[in-house]
Amino acid sequence: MATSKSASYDYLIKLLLIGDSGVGKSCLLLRFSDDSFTPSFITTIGIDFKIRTIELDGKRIKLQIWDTAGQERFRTITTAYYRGAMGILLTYDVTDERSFNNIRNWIRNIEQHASEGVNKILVGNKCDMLEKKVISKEQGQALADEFKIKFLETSAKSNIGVEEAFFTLARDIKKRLIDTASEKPEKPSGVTVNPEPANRQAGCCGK
Amino acid sequence: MSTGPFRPELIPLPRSLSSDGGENGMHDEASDTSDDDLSSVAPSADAHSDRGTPMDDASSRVPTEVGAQLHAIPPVVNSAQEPSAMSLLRQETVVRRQKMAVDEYGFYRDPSPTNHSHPSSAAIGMAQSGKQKVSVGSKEQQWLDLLSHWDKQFAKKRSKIKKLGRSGIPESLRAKAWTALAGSDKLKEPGIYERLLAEGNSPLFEVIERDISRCFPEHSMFAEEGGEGQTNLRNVLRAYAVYNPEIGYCQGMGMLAGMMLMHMPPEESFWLLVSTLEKHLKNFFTPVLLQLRMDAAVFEVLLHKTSKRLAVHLDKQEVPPLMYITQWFLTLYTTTLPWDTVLRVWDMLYCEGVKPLFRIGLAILRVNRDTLLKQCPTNAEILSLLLHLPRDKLEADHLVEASLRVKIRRADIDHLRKRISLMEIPERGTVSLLRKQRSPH
Repeated sequence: MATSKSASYDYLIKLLLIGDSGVGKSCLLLRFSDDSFTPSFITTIGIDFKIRTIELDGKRIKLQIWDTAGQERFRTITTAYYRGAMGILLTYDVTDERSFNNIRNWIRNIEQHASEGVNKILVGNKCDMLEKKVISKEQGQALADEFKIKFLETSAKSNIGVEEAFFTLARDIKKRLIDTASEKPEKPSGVTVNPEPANRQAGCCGK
Repeated sequence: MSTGPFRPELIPLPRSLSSDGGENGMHDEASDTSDDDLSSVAPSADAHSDRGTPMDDASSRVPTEVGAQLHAIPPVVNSAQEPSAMSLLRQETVVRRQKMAVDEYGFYRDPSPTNHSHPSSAAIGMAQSGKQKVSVGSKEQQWLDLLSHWDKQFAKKRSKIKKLGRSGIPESLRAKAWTALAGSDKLKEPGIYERLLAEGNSPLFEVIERDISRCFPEHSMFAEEGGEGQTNLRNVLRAYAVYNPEIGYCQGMGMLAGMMLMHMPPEESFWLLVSTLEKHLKNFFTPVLLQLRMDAAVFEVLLHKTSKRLAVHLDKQEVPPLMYITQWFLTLYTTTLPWDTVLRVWDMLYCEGVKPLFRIGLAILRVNRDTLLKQCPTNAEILSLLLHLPRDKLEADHLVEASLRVKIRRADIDHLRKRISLMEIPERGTVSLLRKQRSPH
């Protein structure tokens, strides 16, 4: 599998992490992009951004992942990023009921600001904290079923389900935008996914 | 040897002034003598500035062992509650850190610093030569003179204050100078802070709580879960949320309060936060982040004016300033720059007003200009750079000098702010003076 330092890719996919403040969005991203975890993480102010290139069915997919501040008032800024996203990770904290209940608000935000048909996945983070867990897997699954989206429990700390969550979402997006598009001859029609030249340099700053 | 929690009076740490800029090179901004930025700053008097410890200790650049005196962390005592996995992990981190060094500012010196730690310029091998220390004594004396006759001196010596601010306020007098410059000592009303804490309540307390352990977790004052540093931070933020319910609490304010607590006791920090948010960051933290979004538009125009080619490149790649100045402005660069550079930016902010905020941002772009133009072809590379700035070009003297070469006037900022205030500002998204409204993506 290509590492995050990979210089070339076939397709570019833009993902967005949303959810209440403190549910562990930045930790999920750090685990996925750098395979590390730190308990001393700072609050995300505004937006953050990381890249990792993965391989799916022999294609190199560069994932551009936008991390957002969770506090309500930052939505004045962060909803602007919804439109360009092809996939969204809706994140809650299994030890925090409020963050779970707020998923409905986040979904409303997506309906309002994201592109139609955007792929979504529901992620219940911090599943390693068994003694503090208040939202069961069944509750998470039921909510995901209600909105007809996939669901996974994750732990950025214990590295549970993180790869799977990002890969599942990426695979769904690839299916929706790239595979369907390439069935048609000539140009891919996916408005947002433009195949990039395979040898394109990601630049020195690409992480 | 004290193993108890940190006492505010023990902070700040001794530090070298070797990077404080000295007298040369910093005062050559002849074209820029306007003092208008200070007009909104209330004069205040603090006649009894006691002289701090002599700041001639070059060895203070050497990291201190945490075990030694001030920075020892007491063992975490578990409450009756079952410790969570996270708190156990944090505890492990605390134990690990007891063996780690802290730098002269109190940050744990990680052997492999991440973007979220704050290596000083010394830590990245950019320490200035010792020659500038010659001026330290006289600089300290000049500040002492100013502070001892503050009411009289303030109006007359604005130009001098500005120049002194640009070369860095001596650490021993920083707290007094910031307080006097911001006028927070005049603002302070006895008893209010305690009353706000005793009587106040706000639904935002919960929001504040989630950020307490995420403000400067790499700093020895705030690292300990439930320690005095975290308690003080919580109190200052809570008091402010109650004091000014229109603003309440917004992420970013924790970094500001944290910086203040590194320099002064909680009550003084609270009043400095009040005056800073009123005078320098007015309306930045409102529920729609109004002034921040307006200033992003101002920044965009200034960037076009001062660095056209770069502005066009960023514009083409759809990287509007709001994407990166949100973090820079709302934390006053505390999460962006090496720590001694951060302190210098704060010195300038209190001495000059809001202009340095823009100038430093424009200077960051300017020192990274070639990289941005040549090695960052798309918004992915641009943002990877701007949101995780490489430290090597951000050394304090270097960046301050670069910022002084950015030719903008306070009048430009005021004019642009006025123009934009006449526009209809949407509730969400970016604002632009240069083109029709569009949103980034």
